Formats: sequence, C-alpha cells, structure tokens
Amino acid sequence: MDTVTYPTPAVSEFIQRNMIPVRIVADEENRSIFITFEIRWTPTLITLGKDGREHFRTVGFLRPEPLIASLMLGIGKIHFDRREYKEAISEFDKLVAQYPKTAFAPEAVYYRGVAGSKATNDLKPLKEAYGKLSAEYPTSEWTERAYPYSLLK
Amino acid sequence: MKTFLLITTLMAFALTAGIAIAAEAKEGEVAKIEWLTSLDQAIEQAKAQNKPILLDFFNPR
Repeated sequence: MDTVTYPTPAVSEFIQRNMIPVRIVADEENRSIFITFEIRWTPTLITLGKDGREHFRTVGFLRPEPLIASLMLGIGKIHFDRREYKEAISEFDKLVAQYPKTAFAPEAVYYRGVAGSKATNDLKPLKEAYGKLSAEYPTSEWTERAYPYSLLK
Repeated sequence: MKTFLLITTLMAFALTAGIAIAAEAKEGEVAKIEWLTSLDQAIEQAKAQNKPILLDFFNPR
C-alpha cells in the first residue's frame, strides 16, 4: 500500500479531502485495539463514521482505483446506515460512474437500488438495480443477490 | 546605459519567472496523507470536520 497505492496523487488527495486518516501499527502497544476491531490480518482498512462506529471494511492490498472505490462505498454505507438515502445514492452513483470496472461497483449498484427503494417507498429502483447488474455485471455475486428483484411486479 | 537596462530587465524577468515556477510547483504539490496514530484523536477531528474516518491496520514488516 505504501509503495504503490498511497503515494498515488488521486488516492492521497481523496483521503486528505474526504476523510480523517489514522494508522494503527501492529505492535504490542496497539494490541487492545487490534482485539477490539477483531483484526486477524493486515492490511485491514475500515471506514468509520465520525462517532467511531464501523460501516465497511476490506482486507488485503488494493490498487489505487479499487481503494478509492472502496472508500466511496464505505462513505455511501455510512449515509445508508444513517438513513440518509439521498446522500447515499449520490455516493453510490459517483462510484459507479467513476470506477465502473472495480470490484466494488456491483455492490454500489445493489445498495443504490435499496437506498432508492427506501427513499421513494417504491420497488422500481430494486428492479432497475437488477437490470443494470444483470446487463453490466452478469457474473457478480451482487447480481445473484439481486435476482429476486427481477420477479417483482 | 542601454546594456544596463537590458540586463536589469532580463534579471527582473528571470526572477519573476522563477517565482512563478516555484508558485506553480507549490500549487501542483500532491497532498501527502497526514496519518494520525490515535483513534481518539481521529474521532475528535472527524467530529470537528464532519468527516468519516479511514482506520488502517498495518504491519510494516
């Protein structure tokens, strides 16, 4: 991460502009926080709300574009979990538009559909999410998870 | 006198151009990630700046 991903200008600028970055090194002094967050392997990257509550995590190395996409997904999930659906939709849409080829894009399409449905109290966004997933990400697990939405009337 | 004026003008131009290039380099500088090392401090800053937190657990070895 320190050799390839973090030094990439788009990554460092995204993190500095949108997040408060904190690094916890694996040593005896930090043993208790590793236990608190149940860290079994590094790197583990967790997106927390400003209250310190966890909303999303990834384990393992990520290249620059997938890392930014994962952070956008985490930010979107913070809004989603707080029922701030308009903001969540905006974040998921941005991710899919900017990083459509990353592994995090199908998950963003899925949650965009759910957030859209919750925001409007309508099932249409769920069907639309399945339509986009099956057309653009046919092999994704998120397409499979959205399959029941294709049966909605 | 003409030569003196020309040299002075060229020096002023070079100086201005140098300042301009330096300013450009500063503007174009990439924002380096300023990592905190304490979660408590991060939560404090996150609340003050209304931003989420990126918590990175890593092993430098």
